[in-house]
Amino acid sequence: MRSVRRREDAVAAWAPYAPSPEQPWNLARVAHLHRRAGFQAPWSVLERDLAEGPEAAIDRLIHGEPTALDGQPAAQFERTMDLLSAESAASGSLSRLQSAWIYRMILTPNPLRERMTRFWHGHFATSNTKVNNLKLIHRQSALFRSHGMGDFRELLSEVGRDPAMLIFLDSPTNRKAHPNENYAREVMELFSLGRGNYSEQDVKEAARAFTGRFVQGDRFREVAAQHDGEIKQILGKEGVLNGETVVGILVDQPACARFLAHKLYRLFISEFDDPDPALLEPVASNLRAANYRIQTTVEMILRSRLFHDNASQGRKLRSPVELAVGTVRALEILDPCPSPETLAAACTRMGEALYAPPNVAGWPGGTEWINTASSLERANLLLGLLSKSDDKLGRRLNPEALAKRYSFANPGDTRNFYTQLLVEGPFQDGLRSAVERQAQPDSQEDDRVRFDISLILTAPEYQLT
Amino acid sequence: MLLFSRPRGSSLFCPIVLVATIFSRPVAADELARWLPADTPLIVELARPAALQPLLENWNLLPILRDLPQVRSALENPDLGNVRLAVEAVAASLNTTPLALADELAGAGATLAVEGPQKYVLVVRPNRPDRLQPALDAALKLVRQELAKQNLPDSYVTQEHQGVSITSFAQTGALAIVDHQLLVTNSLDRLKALLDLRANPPAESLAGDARFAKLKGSLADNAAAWFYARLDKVRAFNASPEAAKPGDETGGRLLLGRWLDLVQKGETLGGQLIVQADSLELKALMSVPADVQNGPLEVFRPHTVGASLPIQIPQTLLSATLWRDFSAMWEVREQFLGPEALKGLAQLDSFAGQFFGGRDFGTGVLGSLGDQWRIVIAHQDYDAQKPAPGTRYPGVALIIPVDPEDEEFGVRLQSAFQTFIGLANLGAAQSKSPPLMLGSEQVEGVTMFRGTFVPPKNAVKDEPADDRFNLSPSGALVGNAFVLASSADVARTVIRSLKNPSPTQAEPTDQTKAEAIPTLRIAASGPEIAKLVAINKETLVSRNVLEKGNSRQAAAGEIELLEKLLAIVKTAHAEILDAPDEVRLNFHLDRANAPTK
Repeated sequence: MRSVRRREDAVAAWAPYAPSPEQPWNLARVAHLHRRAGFQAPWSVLERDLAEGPEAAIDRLIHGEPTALDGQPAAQFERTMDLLSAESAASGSLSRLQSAWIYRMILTPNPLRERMTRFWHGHFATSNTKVNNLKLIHRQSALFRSHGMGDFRELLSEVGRDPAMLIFLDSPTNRKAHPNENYAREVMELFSLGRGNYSEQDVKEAARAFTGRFVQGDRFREVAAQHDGEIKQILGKEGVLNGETVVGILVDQPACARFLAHKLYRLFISEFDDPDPALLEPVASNLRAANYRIQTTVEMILRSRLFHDNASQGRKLRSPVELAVGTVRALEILDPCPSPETLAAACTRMGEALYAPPNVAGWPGGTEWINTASSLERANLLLGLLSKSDDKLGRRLNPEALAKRYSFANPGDTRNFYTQLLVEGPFQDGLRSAVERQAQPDSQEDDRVRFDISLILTAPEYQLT
Repeated sequence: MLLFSRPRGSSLFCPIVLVATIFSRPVAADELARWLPADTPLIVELARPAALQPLLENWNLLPILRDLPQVRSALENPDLGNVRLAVEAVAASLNTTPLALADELAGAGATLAVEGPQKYVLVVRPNRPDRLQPALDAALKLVRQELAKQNLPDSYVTQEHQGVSITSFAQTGALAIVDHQLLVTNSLDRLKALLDLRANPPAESLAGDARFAKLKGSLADNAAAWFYARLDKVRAFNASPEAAKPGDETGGRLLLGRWLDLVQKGETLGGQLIVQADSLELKALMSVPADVQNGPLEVFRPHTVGASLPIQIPQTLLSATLWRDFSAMWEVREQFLGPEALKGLAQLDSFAGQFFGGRDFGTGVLGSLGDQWRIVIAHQDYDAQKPAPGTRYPGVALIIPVDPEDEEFGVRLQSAFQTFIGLANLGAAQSKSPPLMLGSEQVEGVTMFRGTFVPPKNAVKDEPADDRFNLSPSGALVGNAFVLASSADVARTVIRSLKNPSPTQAEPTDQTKAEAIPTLRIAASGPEIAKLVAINKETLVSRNVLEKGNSRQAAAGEIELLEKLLAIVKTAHAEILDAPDEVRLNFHLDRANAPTK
């Protein structure tokens, strides 16, 4: 547990970061920011953000870049991607819809938005395996994208009316005469409060409040005849409560802000520590003060001393999607990029099937990402990107040319370049030495550089972020 | 200059051959066949290079080829650049241009014999034999200069054998001018052996092989190229125990019949290419192994009446007729299918009975079917589709031949169709998929049953409708045919066509005395397929992006290239004809925008 003895320590931890001789704004911090708040970034972005300082770098992550990595203006890119996703959903092919999102994440001008969309997808986990309707899944994803940085109260309310979620948690069987508690239980346990902050009776009463919510013709519909309009008592509030009023009651609970603060801590700071509740209190307070506007709290976290502290680096394991998308973005394998369908299939094999989380609790993350089979898949994916014969993933990267573009020409330079680009941070020096020890100086230049990169990508350190 | 950085004798001449074949006049020659053994795996001859000229002039293939990613990448290959430089240098030393030199040196054609993996013999026939030796001398001089410049040893050796001067180059091959032709091999020993055979021709050779002679005898006067392969030898190149094992291939077997055995066991395959200003024709001939002839697979060969001409309805993309007597096949199934396949068919036997009032599958169901199986793929009325699906699929209609004397069977087929829709709806209910509404209508006096998906009442703006709205499965009994279609629109058109047959749809005649009888006939329309690509262009671009990772611009480029290729072709026809001892494949393309005859 990351313990905080005094309230002042917690306040100091979340105080705004300002570069200092002890904590300078250096390449390691820029790379850390992009790994955590987006995916990885190309070298040109790292250099620019290093030069322009943390405020400008974080502003750009919050508001997005003006152009996507394929050169399209941001608004045009988003429209194109919305269309691509809608077409993919209409085709009925899950793999196509997954690959449309992977493609979007690779080229997005707004990596933080995509990261938050993915975060809410894991938070309000809904699987097409049960919903069996990609249009509804696609609409839910669009909801997370549009509301992901907005008002959590509104998001929670929308999720309660979202057809995919209603089908996934059996709302169509939640009727006045026979309430189904699935949604009511998960909305408290997994979506807003966490275990221990509600009673079994609260779940039963909330289930009554959510009765009468149906999906008809792929649309949300409230059927008054199936709604229980009697008096209910939930978390100390009594009245003729319905789904909307329950959302208000939940969000007003002190536990709700603490619960979300813990989830955001795991997203941005560390998934290996169990933070002291006192450390999270300033984040929870910020959420309440901001009326649950998520962007305000995300900004607070990204600008905090704790986020930029050396000790926060390397405290998370890359998820399969982060690994795939981040590596492609950092190595600038963009035109053409590796086959999105193949990347999506690889992510599924590594344990992250987009739109098909394992259960309603989403992906557990952390060390759960790694096992014998997934480690092999990770290595295969990364080596595929470096391959000169793999039609789907490889034959696109010219590592020598990329290094030369940024004026890293000779062998020592290229090794430095790729170590900095890919693992800048606490493991950089050790990994660079390891790569140097195993270098193959007699190989042709292209093979030598590829071998160096393969050592970096398949090192255990690269799996951390 | 990096030219000739390593000895590359053989690669020096290949581009000359390629370029030269384009602009040349015909000279027939098959001397090589007299020196080669009868079991030579593959021999290919470009007999009339000039005959390929229409491909460039009338068919305008060059710009399309240039846009092909594989060709672009090959053209950017530095090795090819080096060879091009070499050709230019040799041409300059002979005071001519590379294209003119190519015509002089290889304009009369070329023959390539492949004797094994990495073993070949190439004969290049010049239009100007007097230019061969000077060109060869100039090329060798260039090579030696380059080697000297790079301080590399001169690995090119010249020696005499059977009175012929041979130039060999380390590890990569040998060449000689023989009878005013250039002979190239990848082995000095093989070249010497060929010269020995030239001096003392063997009693048995490829030229004396009856099947090879038959192919040569069948060549059209205007054939641009031909080939002959000993398939048993070619298969041996990549022989592996796994490849030799027959898999469970029920579907393929029932569809392809004995052709499957030909691919696996056929001994010889020969063919010729005929290029004309407005058409392109490929004719191939494959021998049937003795153990296939007169065996149980004979049931796959028509003996009297073959496949009829494919049915043509408006906006047909592809239409095919397959001759199959499934009842006869059922009788002998145990002789050509494995135990797993037979088990599956036994299950089908009992399952299918439920759909056909308890009839015996072999005699009662298959026995009531005819042998002309037709399939039509045609555009639907896309404008009438409500809602409009994101991707527009054409409709597919299967026209199942029915015994006209078994009236009750036709009713059973209609009933089976309705049962199938009901079962599909049961499955849909379990998977929460939308149901098909069953209805019927009269078309030309025929009752057509159809299932349709109900359009959503409150569709979301800008959200394309599901692809399932392309489907409106339909079935109708029209005389002695049951029409089973994926689209009601296409089913209607097929019904009208069957009720009012055009003269080209006449029943096939008895062909008992014909040498070979057509078993499969296919007709396709380039413009109609191009129309489908154009309608779905955005979807195809998106799929290309997601499958290959291309940018939208690059993906659009690939789809446009496909459109250009389709635009060249007006119609394509293919037919497979079966004879007891051979199978013939005829493939014919008509050029689009050709002047009307």
